[in-house]
This record gives sequence, structure tokens and C-alpha cells, in this order.
Amino acid sequence: MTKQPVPNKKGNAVHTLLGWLKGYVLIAPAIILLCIFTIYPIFWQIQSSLYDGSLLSKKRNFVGLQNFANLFANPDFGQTVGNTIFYSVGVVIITIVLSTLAAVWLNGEAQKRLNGLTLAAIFTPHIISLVSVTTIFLWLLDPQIGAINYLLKSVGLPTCPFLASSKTSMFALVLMMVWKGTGYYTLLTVAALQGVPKDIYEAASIDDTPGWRVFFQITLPMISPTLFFSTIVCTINSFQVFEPINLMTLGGPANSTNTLVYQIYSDAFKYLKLGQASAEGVVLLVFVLVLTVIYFAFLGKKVPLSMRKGEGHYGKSKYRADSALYPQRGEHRLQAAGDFHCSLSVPVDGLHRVQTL
Amino acid sequence: MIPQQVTFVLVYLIFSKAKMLQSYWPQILPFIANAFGIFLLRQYFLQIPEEIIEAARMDNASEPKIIFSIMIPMAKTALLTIGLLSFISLWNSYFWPLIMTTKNTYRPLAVGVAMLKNVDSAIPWHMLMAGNLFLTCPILIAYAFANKQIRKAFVYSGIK
Repeated sequence: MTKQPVPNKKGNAVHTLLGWLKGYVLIAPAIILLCIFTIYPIFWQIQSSLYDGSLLSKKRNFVGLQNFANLFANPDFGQTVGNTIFYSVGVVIITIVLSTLAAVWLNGEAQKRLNGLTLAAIFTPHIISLVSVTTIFLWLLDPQIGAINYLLKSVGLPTCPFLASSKTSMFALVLMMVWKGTGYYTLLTVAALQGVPKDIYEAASIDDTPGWRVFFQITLPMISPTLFFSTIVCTINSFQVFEPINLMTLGGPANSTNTLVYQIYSDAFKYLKLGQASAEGVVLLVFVLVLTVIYFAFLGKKVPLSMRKGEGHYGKSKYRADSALYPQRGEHRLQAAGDFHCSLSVPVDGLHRVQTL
Repeated sequence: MIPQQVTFVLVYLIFSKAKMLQSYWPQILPFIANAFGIFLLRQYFLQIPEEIIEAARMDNASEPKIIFSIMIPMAKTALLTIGLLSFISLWNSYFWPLIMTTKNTYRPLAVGVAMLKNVDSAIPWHMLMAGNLFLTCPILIAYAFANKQIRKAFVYSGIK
């Protein structure tokens, strides 16, 4: 639906100006706050990374890129960045794979009653505070009194030191955060699966497409926009990990769980090195910006090419789409895109014309 | 999409320079403007048929009246979604209040519960678990009563 201009009864310039101003007045409070607390600190941070001095010093001297040179010369910082990348890659891969499998299973028809309950249950960790989650896991993972080691011992398996060893500490954190995050991404993926038009599956079943091909050639491409969104959001969130480290390991043992945000926090508030903390903040900013740019660059290409407006092939089936398919976007995007027609021509029984919303 | 974990040191300095650290403001002001909330409400407002608004204008309804008696009631779901998401994330938040507070007077429950651990070397598990019960109970009770709405709200948070 295109927006009709509102007929202006008086039609004079003052009235138009007021109408134009009104919108800006209404968004002003939000924009001002966003500028103060989001936009301005970014530029200040970049400027601050070029100066030395501590959190308490009144006057700071310009040192150019010295802070960055110090960072990259320091092997500990290299390890911190490596830890952050290891943690993020681990969390993202395991979370996305687990949540996709869980979502496909939960989308099945066979155990409908159980599905709602299971989804509610695996989503619960996501809304629990990290303070509580880390407390429980500190107890579960404790080498002496922990329940997991107790279980391992009782079935005769070797115990694991978890957080007490630099070899396993980061892995233990990854497992905990996968447990906490999987429910959320499962929820998103289930919503995406419910948006996939049933007709495509019907066409596939008429073609006798085997199950694994349906999964890889229909299900995965159709939910790929959501998976892509999940992957980016999960990566950005993982890069900012702070709470588990501050609450469980304090970066140790032997720097093995130190991450970027925890490093910024300790440099700024424990060692009061403002310049260095700002430089680390800029490094984190670059990582986040790159991910955001990747996200927006692909946003326009959300739907696999074969499902775009026009004619094409989808597996064995031919299709013609009068307008682009946006199965993942929920009702909003569908309404914005106007009437949603999808014609699917199937070799066996001719042409279906379906309207999906 | 720039997260607060990137710039928190400088936001701390802003509040420190404004002499606001000894107050609740550092925990409130940065969260008032919510880009996701604006986006979601705009989506809802766009769906309201123009005819309804024009009919109200014909009846000489003032602009505030149109906002409060037409637009806002029709966006109730969106407001509920934003409210639920904000409440859950702010109730659970630990990172921001930890950085923005120096005195127990202004610290929220999550930070207080986490501090129970630092009292001495041995972890007082009984105290810690009791504190965590207080921290998780409101969320779990809300989830028990409104689990569909809460899950729907989180699905919306994924359709940015």
C-alpha cells in the first residue's frame, strides 16, 4: 500500500512547516540520547586511543599510534584476541548447528504436544541472568565437589579439571554459553521454518525427493536468511563476552580465558590505563564493524537466488514467483511487499497457483 | 548495532565528568532510547490504515489525541514486546551496573548476588544459591504465566 499524502486543508507554508517540524520534535529525545551514549563515545574512543594517560589524569599527551604499537607488540594481547576468536568460533558453530537440528526436530508433526514444552524448556536458560547461570556452572564444574565430575567418577571415567586448567577452561565456558544460547536461536529457527510455504514441500514429495535432499536443498536455503542473521548476531554477542570471565575465571588460569572486553575492563578500571583501554576498544570496534558491514552487505541478498522474483528452477521443480519470496521475514515484510503470490509449476500435476501469507 | 561493550569506558567518563556516578542515572539514561523499540513501533504504525487517521482528522481530533487514542492502543502488542524484552534484559544485567556503580546504594540485585562470592576465599554456596533464587524467581514466574508472549517477543527481537 502506498502512502497517500494527507490533504492539507489550509495548505499554507506555515502549516506544512509545522507538520514537518512535528516529526523531528517527536524523534528528537531518542536521537539526542543515541548521539550522546552511542555515537559520541565512538568518536571520543578513537580520539582517546591516540593519547596516553590514566583514567585519573587531567592532562593527556598525544602519542599517535603508540598505544596500538604497544598492543600488537604484546604477546598477551595476541593471546587475548586469539582467545576471543576461539571462544566466538566455538560458541557460534556449536550453537547454530545444535539449534538448527533442534528446530528441525521441533518443527516435526509427530510429537506436537511435546514440542511446545520442549521449546519452552530449552529456551529458559536464555532469560536467566548470567549471574545465576555462572553460579550453577561454577558448582557443576567444580573439580572437587562438582556434579559433573561426580557423575564421571561414578561411571568410572577420568575426571576433568574444567576451569582449573588452562587447557580446558575456555572449552568449559564455550559449553556453558552454548547451553545458555541454543534455546534462543532454536526459537528463531522454528519461527523461520513455520514461514516456509508448505507447497514447496508438497512439490518435493511429488518428486519423491529423498529426505536429506529436502533438508539441504529446500529447508536450509529457505531458512538461510535466519541462519545468517543468527550467525552474525551470535558472533557479535560472543565477541563481547565479559560476564562469565569476570564471574568465573578472572581471565585465568594463565591468561587462558582473557577476552577483549575483559581486557578493556581490567586495563581501564584495575590498571587505569585509559589510552591502552581505548586502543583495545578500537580493535573491538573494528571487529564489530566488519561483522555489521558483512551483515548489511548480504541483507539485500537474503533469499537464495533461485527463490527470487521471476522464473527459475528449484531442485527438480520449476517455479514462477510474481514477487520475491520472503519466508523468513514474518508477517511484516510480507505485508510491506504487497500481495504475496507464488506460483509453483510442478512437472507431475501441472500448475499450482497458491497465495501464501 | 554498536554494542555497549565497545564504548563503556568512555560512557563511564561522560557520567564521571557530569558528576552523575553517585546516582541511578548511568543505569537509566543510556537505555531510554531503544533503537529496536523505535523500529518495532514504526512497523506497527505503518500498518495502521491511513483512512482511520484521516477520519479522525475529519472529526477535528487533535494530533496528540490521534496518537494516544488511535496509534498507541493499536500498537499494544509492540509496546508489550518492548516492555518484556527491556524488563528481562535490564533485570538480568550485570555488566553495565557493575561498571557504572561504585557504591552499594545504587547497585542492583544481580551485582549484589555476584558480590556474595567475594566475601572470603571459600564460596558461601548456601548464601549464593539463596541470592540467585531471588534473582531468578521474578523472571521464572513471569515466564510461567506468559511464556507464549515472552517467546513471541524474543522472536520479534530476531527480525531486526
